[in-house]
Amino acid sequence: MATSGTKAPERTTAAEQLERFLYVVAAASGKAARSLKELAEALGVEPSQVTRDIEEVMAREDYLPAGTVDAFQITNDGRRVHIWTTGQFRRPVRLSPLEALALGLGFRVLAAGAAGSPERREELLAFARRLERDVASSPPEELLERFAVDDGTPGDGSVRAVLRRAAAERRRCRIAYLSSGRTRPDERVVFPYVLGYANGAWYAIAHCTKRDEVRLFRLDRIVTAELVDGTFDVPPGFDPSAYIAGGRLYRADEEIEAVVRYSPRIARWVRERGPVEELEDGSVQVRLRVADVHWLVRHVLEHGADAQVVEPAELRAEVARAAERVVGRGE
Amino acid sequence: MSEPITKFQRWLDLIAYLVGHKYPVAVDQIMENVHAYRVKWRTEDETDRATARRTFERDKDELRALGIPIETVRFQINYGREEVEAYRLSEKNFYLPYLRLVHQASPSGERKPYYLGEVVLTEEEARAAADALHVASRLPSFPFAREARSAFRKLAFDLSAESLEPTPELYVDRPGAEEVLERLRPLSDALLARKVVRFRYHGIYRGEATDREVRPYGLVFQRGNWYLVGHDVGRDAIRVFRVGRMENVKQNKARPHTPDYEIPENFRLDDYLDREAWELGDDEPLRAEVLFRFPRSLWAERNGYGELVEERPDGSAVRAFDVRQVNPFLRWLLGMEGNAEVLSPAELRAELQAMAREVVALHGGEVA
Repeated sequence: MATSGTKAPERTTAAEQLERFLYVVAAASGKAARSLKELAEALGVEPSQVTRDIEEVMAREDYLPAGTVDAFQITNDGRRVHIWTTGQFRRPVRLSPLEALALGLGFRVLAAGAAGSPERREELLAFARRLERDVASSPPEELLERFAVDDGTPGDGSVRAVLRRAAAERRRCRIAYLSSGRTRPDERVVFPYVLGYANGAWYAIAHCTKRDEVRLFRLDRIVTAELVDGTFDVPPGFDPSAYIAGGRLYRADEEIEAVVRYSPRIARWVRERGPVEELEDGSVQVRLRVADVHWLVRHVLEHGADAQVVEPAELRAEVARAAERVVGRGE
Repeated sequence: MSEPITKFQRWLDLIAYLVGHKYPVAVDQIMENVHAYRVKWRTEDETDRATARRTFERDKDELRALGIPIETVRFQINYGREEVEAYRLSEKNFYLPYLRLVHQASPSGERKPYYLGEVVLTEEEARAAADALHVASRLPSFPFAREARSAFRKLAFDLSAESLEPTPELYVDRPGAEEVLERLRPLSDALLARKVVRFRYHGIYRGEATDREVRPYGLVFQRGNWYLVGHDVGRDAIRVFRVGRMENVKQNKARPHTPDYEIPENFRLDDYLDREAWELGDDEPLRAEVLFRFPRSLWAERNGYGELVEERPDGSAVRAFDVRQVNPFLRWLLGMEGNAEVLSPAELRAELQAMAREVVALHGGEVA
C-alpha cells in the first residue's frame, strides 16, 4: 500500500519527558504517595531524572492563571512523590503510534511463531487488532507494514508452543531429541526452565531427567514435544545468564578451547562477531570456547575452505573425518 | 529573568489547557490563554504574533504525531459570516480505557468516568499482550524497545503484575548489538518519515565498501540480524542490506517534514522474509535434489527445508531446493557432515565433493 504523507512520529527528549511525566502524574495522584525509587525503576531512569522532570513543571516563576502549574500540586521529598491534580492526568494516556507499533509487532511475531496452528494464529491477530483499536491513539496498521520479524521459530511452531506452555506453567514435558552424532532421536522428560534465542536459533534451557542435570536443547532438533503429568519448580539458584557468553547460549562446564583461523576473504565478517587476532597475511584467528564439539565441527565445515582449526589436534582430525564422510558419500 | 520555556513545558501547557475544556476552543482563545504563546501573542509586534502562532502550529502537529489526538473543529459565527478554527482534546480519545481481567469484578468505590469505557481481557489475552511487549522490548537492537516498555507500563496500570507475567523467554544480544541499534535508530526514523538515507556498505561477496543512497521501504529482522530493504538509487533496484555492515548512516535532512519518495503499492515486505542465503540473488534458480539420511531427514522435514520428493524405506528422504546462490547452499550441506548428499545436478555434486576435499586437505596436513 502506498502511504500517504502523514508526518512521522518523532522521538525527542521532549517526547520522552512528556511520556514520563504523564505516567508519574497518573501513578502518584492516587490517595497515597508513591516511592520515587519505584517510579524511577518503572520508567527505567534514575530517580534524579524523575525529580528533574517534576521540577521543570513546577519551577516556572512566571505562571499566570490557566497555566499547567495550577493543574498540579506536587510534593517530592526525595523519597516519596504525591501529586494532587484538578482531575486531569489521573489516567495513563492511550498508546502512542510507536508504542502501538511495538505492541503490534510483538503480536505479529507471536502469530508468526504459531504458524502451524492457523486457528491460534488468527485468534492472536484478531485479539491484537482489537486491543490496538481499544488502547492506541491510532491503530498501527500502516506502520506495521514497514517492519517484519522472523524470530526463528523452527518448523510449524508446534514444538515451541508446547515448550513455551511448559515453561510458563512449569509443566513437565517429553521430547524426542536428535543429539549430534546420534543415529536416531532419543526420548527424555525435561523441565524447561526458560527458552532462549541466540544467533538466530531457539534453545530450551531445561533440566533433563535422563542426565539429571540442566542441559541446552536446540528447538530445531526436537522432533516432537508433549506435556506430561507433573509440574516442576525452578531451583532458586538457577541463573540463565550463566549460559550466555559472547552472544551465544552454551554450557560453560563442559567447554573445550579451540583456535580457528579464517581466510582474509571472510576476515571482515569474523571481526564483526567479536575479538580476533590479526595475522600478517590478512587472515584472523579466534580462540573459541565451546561446549559442543559437533557445533564447532559444523561451524568450521560451514565455512568451507575459509576456516581451519589450528588446535587442538583432535578437533582438526574430527573436522577432517567429517569432511571425508562427505567425500565418501559422493564417490 | 526567568528561564525560557522548554518544548516539554509548552506541550504540557497546551495539553492541560485543551483537555480541561469540554468544548472546542477557538485558536485565538488558545493563543490568549496558554502561557507559552500568550507573551508573544499579546505584543503589538506582528512578527512576534506570527512566531507565536507558528509555534502553536508546530506543537500541535508534533503532539498529534506523538498520538495526542488533538482534533480540528471548524464552526461558523456571526450568522455564518465568519468561520472559526477551534481545537478539541476529548478525554475519551486521550486517556487509556480501563483494563480488567474477565474474572475480576470492577473495583467498587472508585469513581470512573463512564466515557473512558472498559477493555475486558481473558487471562490468556493478558499473557499474550505481555508476551508481545516482552518480545518487542527484548528483540536484539529493536529500535522501539523503549516504546515497548512504556506501552507495558500503561497496560500494567490496572492489571496485576501476575497477570502480565511474560512467558520465560530470553533474547541474547550478539556482540555489536549496540552499534547496530545506533544505525537502526536513524534508519527507522528515515523509514517512517520516508526520507532517503546514505551510508557506506561493506558487501560480503565483492569484499569492497561502496557508498549507497537508498529509499528505505522496510526493516526486517531474521536469523539474529537486521536488514534494510529499499530502493538503491544508484542501482535503480530493490536491494537488501545487512544493517551491521553499514557505516556512517545519514538521513537526508533537507525538508524534514516532507517525504522524499512513495513506496510502490505492490511492494510487500513479507516477500523478503524467511529466505535462506541460497535463495537470495538475481540469478535463475537451479533445481537441486538432496538426500537426507535418517535421522537428518526428520530434522529437514520438521524444519521445512526444501520440498519432499521421496521418502525411502530406510527413513532417508530426498528433498528439492531452488538454489540461486550455490556457495552458501553447499556450505550449509557440508556442515551436515555427510548426512546430506547432492543427488543432482551432477556439477553441484562435484562441487560439494571438491569443497569437502579442500577441507580434508586443510585439516589433514600440518598448519603452516
